[in-house]
Amino acid sequence: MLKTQHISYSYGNDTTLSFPDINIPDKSQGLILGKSGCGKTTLLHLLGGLLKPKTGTIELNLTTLNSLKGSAIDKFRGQEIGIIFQTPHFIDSLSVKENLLLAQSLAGNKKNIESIKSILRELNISDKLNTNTKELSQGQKQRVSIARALINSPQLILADEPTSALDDENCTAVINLLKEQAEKSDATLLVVTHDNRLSNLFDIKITL
Amino acid sequence: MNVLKISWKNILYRPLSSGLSLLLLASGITIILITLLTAHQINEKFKNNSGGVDLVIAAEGSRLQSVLCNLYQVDKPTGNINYARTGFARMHPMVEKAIPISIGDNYKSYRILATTHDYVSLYGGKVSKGKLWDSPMEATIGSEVASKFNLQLGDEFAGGHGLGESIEEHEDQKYTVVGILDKSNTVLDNLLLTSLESVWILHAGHDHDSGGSFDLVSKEEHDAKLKEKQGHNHEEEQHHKEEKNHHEHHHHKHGHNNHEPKDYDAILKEIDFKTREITAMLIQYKTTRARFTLPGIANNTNGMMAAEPAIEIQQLFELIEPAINIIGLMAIVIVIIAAVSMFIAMLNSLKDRQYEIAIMRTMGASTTKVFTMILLEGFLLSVLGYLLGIGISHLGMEIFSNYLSETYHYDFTGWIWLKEEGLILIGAIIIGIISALYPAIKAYRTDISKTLSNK
Repeated sequence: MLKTQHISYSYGNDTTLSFPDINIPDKSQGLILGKSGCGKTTLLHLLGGLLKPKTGTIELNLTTLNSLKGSAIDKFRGQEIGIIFQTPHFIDSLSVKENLLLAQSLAGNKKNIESIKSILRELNISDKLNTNTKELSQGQKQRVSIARALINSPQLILADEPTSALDDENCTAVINLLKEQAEKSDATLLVVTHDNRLSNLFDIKITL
Repeated sequence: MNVLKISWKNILYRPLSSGLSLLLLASGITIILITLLTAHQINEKFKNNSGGVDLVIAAEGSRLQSVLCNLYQVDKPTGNINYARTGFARMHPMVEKAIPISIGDNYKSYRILATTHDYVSLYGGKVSKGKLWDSPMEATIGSEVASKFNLQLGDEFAGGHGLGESIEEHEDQKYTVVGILDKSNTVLDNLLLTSLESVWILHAGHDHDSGGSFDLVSKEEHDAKLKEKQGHNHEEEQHHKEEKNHHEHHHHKHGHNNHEPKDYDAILKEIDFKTREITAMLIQYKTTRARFTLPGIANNTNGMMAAEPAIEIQQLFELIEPAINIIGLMAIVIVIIAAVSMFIAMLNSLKDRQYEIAIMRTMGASTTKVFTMILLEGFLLSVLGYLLGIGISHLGMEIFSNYLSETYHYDFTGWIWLKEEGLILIGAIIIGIISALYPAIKAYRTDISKTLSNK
């Protein structure tokens, strides 16, 4: 389960952001809602171990994230947390397959072409296996970034505004895909958004 | 997907900027290496070809020219000296060897050098086929000459007058190949050796006062003079009836066949010993104390000049050194430009790739991994640039050496490897790593959260 206590973060000295405690069980799916500029992305980065909180603790399945040091947190993140960003980015010099292989190797896992193929099949982009990521459409890129977040079967999937650039139809499709995949790999899914279209698709909602 | 592979893919992904860095580095290395390869081989040649000669006595002129011509077989002779008057050197008690040589004819631009057998032993030459020359007009030839013109034992060839492309050929008197030498990596390989007598006989009709070995007499004139000489011979013979019978033999053969060896003896007899000339005398000292007396005697002998190869070559190198230094400086400047170009290329690509680096970090890459990845790019580029440079240098040297061999009849090659090449590799790697160091530190310090929030 994901549990945070009294976490706060400060940029410089003057502004300190405090966040409400989060306590959600394994394999649940939730939404973090809030207006622009209220620190949604900061919270996501804190949960993903990209930032260290000024105060408080973040626990994911008995591991206290903010006590991990140096490369240990990088390794933990690679293995246990999958992050999907608002605009998908890849290593441009590599193909779809190589980007996913890189995700496997950076997490310290063995390379597994079969699991890459199967996840691309699930996401309906198996024909893009050897395509360079630059040549993908925006929708295809979003799918590949979902594939990348899922490839190591993480315990936690974080998505930062995954739908903000999408129309209603695609919005629902992407969210359904995310929920479906998270469920299949027994992962907890947290979506950070200001998109109110999503609020009735999730049971757990945390508002900042 | 290891780090090395990503670095490699990143280099390939930017072919233009990677290519430019590679090309610059390779150019710098090529200039350095070709200079080193040439200098190394010239040094080797000078060492191999010095033959332990301490002094060259030749006609007055440039000392350097005299050494280059008579020892290294590259420049033109300074003139001729009188053989009889070199007695002071041949008889000198502190002289180990005094080897007369005579240069002035060529076979298809390869030098015909008339000398004694001592000349071959000077360079440790060994006969591979046949024997060393005995009689006049017999020749023992170097391995390169033999293979280049496919000359076999028993083949005949005519010498051309002068040292360049033949102006006039001694068609009437041909040399016979009686021996071929083993390859020795010395001047011997590119020479056709014969006895001093051969040259004296060939030039018997020439005016000895007209510019040493370079008398340019037309063929007709030459033939006419030779005939006149032989006619003169005939008359003289009448007065010396008590001479050996081969004179009579000559009398019968006269005017019919010039290839009979006894004919040569007769011509030789005719040439006054006191007028016989050579191009130079190569001296090996028995003791170094000879250098305090012998050069002085030579220099005081009318028309003669002594040159010490060690000193002349030293001076030649001193003369060339600034030029080589400038080439070296140029190479260093190019290498620095290469390093700067690599640095800028990597810094630029890093700007585009900041987001990529942040993404790699979110996927679990540690700061060290990212740092290593960028350093490896510099490393790979420098190793590639090195390999390219090495390839171009050796191939270029090989092509260049064909030209050098044609021009100087010295064998150069691109297929030798210097220990300096290892040092150049280390230098190239250091340059690659230094250029990549700051970009790598920047990548190491990337603030992932900030980078990801900015897009």
